[in-house]
Amino acid sequence: MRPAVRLPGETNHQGGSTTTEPIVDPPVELVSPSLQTSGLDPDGWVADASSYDLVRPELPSIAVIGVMVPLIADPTFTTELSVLVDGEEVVSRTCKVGRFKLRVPVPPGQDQWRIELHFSDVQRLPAPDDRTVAAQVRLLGFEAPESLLPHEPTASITPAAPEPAKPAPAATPPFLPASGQAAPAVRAPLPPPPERIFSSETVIRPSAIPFNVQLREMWQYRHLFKALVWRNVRIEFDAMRLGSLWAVSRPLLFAAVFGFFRHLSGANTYVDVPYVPYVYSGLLLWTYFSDAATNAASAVRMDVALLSKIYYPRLLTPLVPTISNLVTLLIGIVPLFIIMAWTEVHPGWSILFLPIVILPCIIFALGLGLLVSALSIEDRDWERVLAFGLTIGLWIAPVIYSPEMIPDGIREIYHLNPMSGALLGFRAVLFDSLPFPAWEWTYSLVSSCAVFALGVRVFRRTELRLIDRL
Amino acid sequence: MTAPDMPVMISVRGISKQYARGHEGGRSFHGGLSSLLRLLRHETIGPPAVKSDTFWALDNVSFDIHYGERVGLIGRNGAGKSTLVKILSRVVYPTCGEARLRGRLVSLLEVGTGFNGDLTGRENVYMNASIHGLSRSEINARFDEIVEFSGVQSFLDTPVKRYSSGMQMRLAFAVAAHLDPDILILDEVLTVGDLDFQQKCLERVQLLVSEGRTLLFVSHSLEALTSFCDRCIWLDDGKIRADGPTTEILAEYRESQIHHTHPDAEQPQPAGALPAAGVLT
Repeated sequence: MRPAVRLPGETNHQGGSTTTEPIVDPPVELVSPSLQTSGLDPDGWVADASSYDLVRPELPSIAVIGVMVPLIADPTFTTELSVLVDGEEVVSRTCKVGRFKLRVPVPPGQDQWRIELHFSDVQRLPAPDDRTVAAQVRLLGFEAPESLLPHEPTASITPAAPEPAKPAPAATPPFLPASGQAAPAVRAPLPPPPERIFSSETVIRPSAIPFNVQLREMWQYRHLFKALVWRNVRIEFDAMRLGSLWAVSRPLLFAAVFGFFRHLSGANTYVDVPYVPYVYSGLLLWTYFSDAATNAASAVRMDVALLSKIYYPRLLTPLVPTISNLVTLLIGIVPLFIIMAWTEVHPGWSILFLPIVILPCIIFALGLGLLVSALSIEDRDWERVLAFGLTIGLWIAPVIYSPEMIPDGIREIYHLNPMSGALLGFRAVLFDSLPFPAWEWTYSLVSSCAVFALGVRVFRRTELRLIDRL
Repeated sequence: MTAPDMPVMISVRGISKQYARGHEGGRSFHGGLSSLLRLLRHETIGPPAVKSDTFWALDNVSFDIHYGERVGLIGRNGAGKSTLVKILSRVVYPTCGEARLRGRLVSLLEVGTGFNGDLTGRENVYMNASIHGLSRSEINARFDEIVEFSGVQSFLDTPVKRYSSGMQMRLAFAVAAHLDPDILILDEVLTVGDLDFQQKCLERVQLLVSEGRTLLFVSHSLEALTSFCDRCIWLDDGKIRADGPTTEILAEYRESQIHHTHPDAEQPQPAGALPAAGVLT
């Protein structure tokens, strides 16, 4: 058992005694439950003589004493240490500057021992401390005689230059030297390898992981996916106290502004249903689309701390914001229903298809996000291009007006925008009076899938150098 | 020291990794559209073509690590240790070569990875464990143990950003220590927390390893390597310089450190003014 002892003052040895760590540090659970000391400063420094009354643990044990002789002025400083257990010297040795650990078997059949440390020479700590000290006691406690871990070497401390340990006098209990060659690790027989290691093999090659393997991995990492979505949602709605209010305020405000100006201007937007629910529903879906695409495009950059440390299927990264943003969309539907009730626009039974109808929008946002995040690894400009495109898109897509407004001849071209069919479909299931745009919607689904496929392809190609680039 | 009768857990064959010096590739004049076209045309972007302004962080490295072996990875800064670990953790791709791994690999490249300040301690435990591939029920099963180990019980529902850095570390390592990996890669992570906690971490790692986990331990601490590893691989300049029993390799390594000081290499200095010979524990 090798407790790690790190000196907090390691970098500041000349200055000495700034440590505030507990000096009684249990090497194992068997640490002495109570400790009475004399000659020990609260910060662990001891002068030439100090003693410790240890109450013994239940089991027979070995007392472990960790001591540090400070380097103050003289690197060649040495001091004689003798350790007494119940008044009887059990070990003595010459200590150089540095840290070491002694293991002293304590005689059985007692409840309490007094361990005394005697140092022959002392040093003075630098000003302003000025205490006269011999060493700092870093650790005091018991450990089980057989290491809890069978493979642990008994003589486990390797000094950079082995210090010859004084052979213990024959009459005293065996002193386990604190120095010496590292003993070859004697290990307990290993448990047999578990079956699962034979069933799962990961192959690392300088080429992209085959797509089917990646799909399988994405399924294996579904818990991570859920956790990441949850993280996004939690942060979105918790960082701001008014989280859910913010989620709906943007489309609501826009809808109010557009509604107001249309009312003032009396412009014909060719909308057959009341304008406010029409424009709000359009803005709601558009806001989702725009946020999802933007967040998906920047997801790799945002999660770079994670991506550069841990492997998980990289395709999950842009997928997460497209899903987590659906929560905002869902919240935004509540005011929509209120507005619809207010303006007496009624949904039909087809509203049940709402989750399916918005699919092209989700797929398109994800596809764009994948495409742009892959491209922005090469060239950051692409995120700007996307932002610009989305701003223009708000006016090009039938968000605030009906496509009826577009002249017949170019309406086919107009519907080339995948979002066009998605928006029309979305409204058709919301407002019973609007017909479902079967062709436009189908086209929207197909073209979204095409963009998505392209995005996946491009993203997978950049994956190889993703972390090297970022 | 090898256990030839045991299955190979990590098999590395001729792994090399090339990096570009300075910023990679530079920005092309053709700008945006050409990168789109190149992406569509090329089979992949990368591995990068061999250019003059590149160097090999890893150069044809091969070794096997068997089940239950505890292997230390040593070498000067820039010798390729981190690159190797990153390739094995699949964070970066090799430029050439192949590696095969068995079972679940957990690599603690940096404790606390993926901790999010806005989430509570409890949420971060779930988050962090699922990053390493644990399912919710698996996390539930060890949640209490993790919390117990971390010692931050009373702050579980406090956002992690209000934790002290020590507390964050403790929680992060607690998660890491309970992930139940088949292969554990540690990269100087045991130097977190206070004395008490370090001790706990070491014991935990010892326990994991004694249960038959395969360990790859990257460290500059010869003393830690001695206590943890029965075999060491010494990387120098991207190549394996020596591979064998810890005591032999470390002796050689120590020798080279004393006699062969690289003026330009950042050598890990012995902490403070403590003379190297005095560092016993």
